[in-house]
Amino acid sequence: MNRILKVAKWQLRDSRKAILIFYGIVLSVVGLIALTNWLYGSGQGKAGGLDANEVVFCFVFGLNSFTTAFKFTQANNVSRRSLFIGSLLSLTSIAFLLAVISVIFSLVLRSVMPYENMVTQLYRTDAILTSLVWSFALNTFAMFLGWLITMIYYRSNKLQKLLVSLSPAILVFSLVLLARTSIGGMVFNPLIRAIRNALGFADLLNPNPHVAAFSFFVGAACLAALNFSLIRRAPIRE
Amino acid sequence: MSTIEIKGICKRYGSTLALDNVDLTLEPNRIYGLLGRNGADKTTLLNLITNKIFPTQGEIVIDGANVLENDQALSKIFYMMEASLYPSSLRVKEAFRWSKEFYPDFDMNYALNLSEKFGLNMNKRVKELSTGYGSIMKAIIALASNASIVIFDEPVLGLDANHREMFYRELVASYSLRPKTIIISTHLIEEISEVLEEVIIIKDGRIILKQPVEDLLSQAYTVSGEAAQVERFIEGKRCVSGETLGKFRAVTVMECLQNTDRALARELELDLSGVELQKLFISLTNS
Repeated sequence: MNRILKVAKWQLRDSRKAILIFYGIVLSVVGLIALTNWLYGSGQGKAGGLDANEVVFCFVFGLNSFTTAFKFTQANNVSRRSLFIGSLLSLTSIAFLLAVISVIFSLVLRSVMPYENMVTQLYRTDAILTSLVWSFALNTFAMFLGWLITMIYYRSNKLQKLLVSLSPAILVFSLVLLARTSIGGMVFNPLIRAIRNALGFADLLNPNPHVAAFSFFVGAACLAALNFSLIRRAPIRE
Repeated sequence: MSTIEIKGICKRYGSTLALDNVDLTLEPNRIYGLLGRNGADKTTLLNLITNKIFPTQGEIVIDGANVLENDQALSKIFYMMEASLYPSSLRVKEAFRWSKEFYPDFDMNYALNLSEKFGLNMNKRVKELSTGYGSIMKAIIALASNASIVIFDEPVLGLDANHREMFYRELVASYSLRPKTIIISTHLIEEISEVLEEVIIIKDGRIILKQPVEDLLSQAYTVSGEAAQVERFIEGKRCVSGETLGKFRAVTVMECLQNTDRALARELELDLSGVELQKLFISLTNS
């Protein structure tokens, strides 16, 4: 347990700089928007979606959270299991922290200018707890996805890396080809319905952000399970 | 006090068998030299002991506990790898501080003291260190870790002669003060031979010898002199190597020196001398 906490502590300490830089940029952008608003007025428009950057940050953070930590923990002879659990703790803590900051940002911005965060834009709700849970779930999912991709790269040989890099393009291309065939609708309609339901849009008039949060958490749990299967036998590469 | 038991370890990379059924027991509080030629898979063995890679077959046990993903067993080992696994942006002092987190017995004062002796700048980042100072930083962490098993893989890589000498001195001093199991893998056999208590020689993925240095050296000698006389002397003896220079010949004999041998050497006007560990190693791994 002790070593797990040390790993989490290391990763949290290591993340400080990146988080500070990120929020430095966000604050500058927010300051610029507020200044423009003050100088020229808000007009009819609304600002929003700053929290989308946070999701991108979480994804990129996930991408950068494996190799360095793995090597460093191996230098200190820490088991992969401890690294995995320590990473789970630190990544979810960071995802939660960013969600809290995001909610606070929304509240502050809403009080000074017309602003809508992603939850309000998508689900027409401004409940604080809902926003917090939804952001936390999405951040965790994005972070674990980045973590998984970097781990797949680490475990892959050159050919596998190439395939992984090309896989998004191959997937899109295959879907486009599939859409043009007669069975396209048979595949796409249930797929789109499933994604819509998972994101809480089963009833378009009353979308449910809690369903989406639940889906993101389930997705994050599945990604974590995949991550563990990749890390548990990962050899050190010098 | 930690005993390492290596039981029937095999490691295969694709179709290549790197380690072939290695059985080895390393007693606590001894200094072992793991010797082998390039590609003998010394590092593979060390990586297996420290759970850096996984065996194809067999198990490695420390004080009765399998090392496989076992934090309790792994925390007893500090492994100074040849490669640096520390983040390149980490400062030396931060590396020390984090080592203290993972190895609670890490002696910070000793580490600071050694840094001063070696002239290691604590404020430098890992990426700013030369190869030699990179090795020094890792060696200092290893020595100060106070782990009961300390493994060094090429610890003096990039070090100048002065620093190498200092390292050997500090290694012995640290061992005398706080005995531990030390495994050193190096190609600089001549330099390290004074430090080692026991040698393990690995060749083609197999352990071909494990013996106390003193016993090993007492079981071999060199006879030299006029070539024809040397040939007469070694008749029927187990020779592992020989060198000829004009009429002069020197041969390493892998046997205990008997009184009859001494008498024969005197009669043939030949010189008898001890064998250097490095020469013996070359003889054993060349054959």
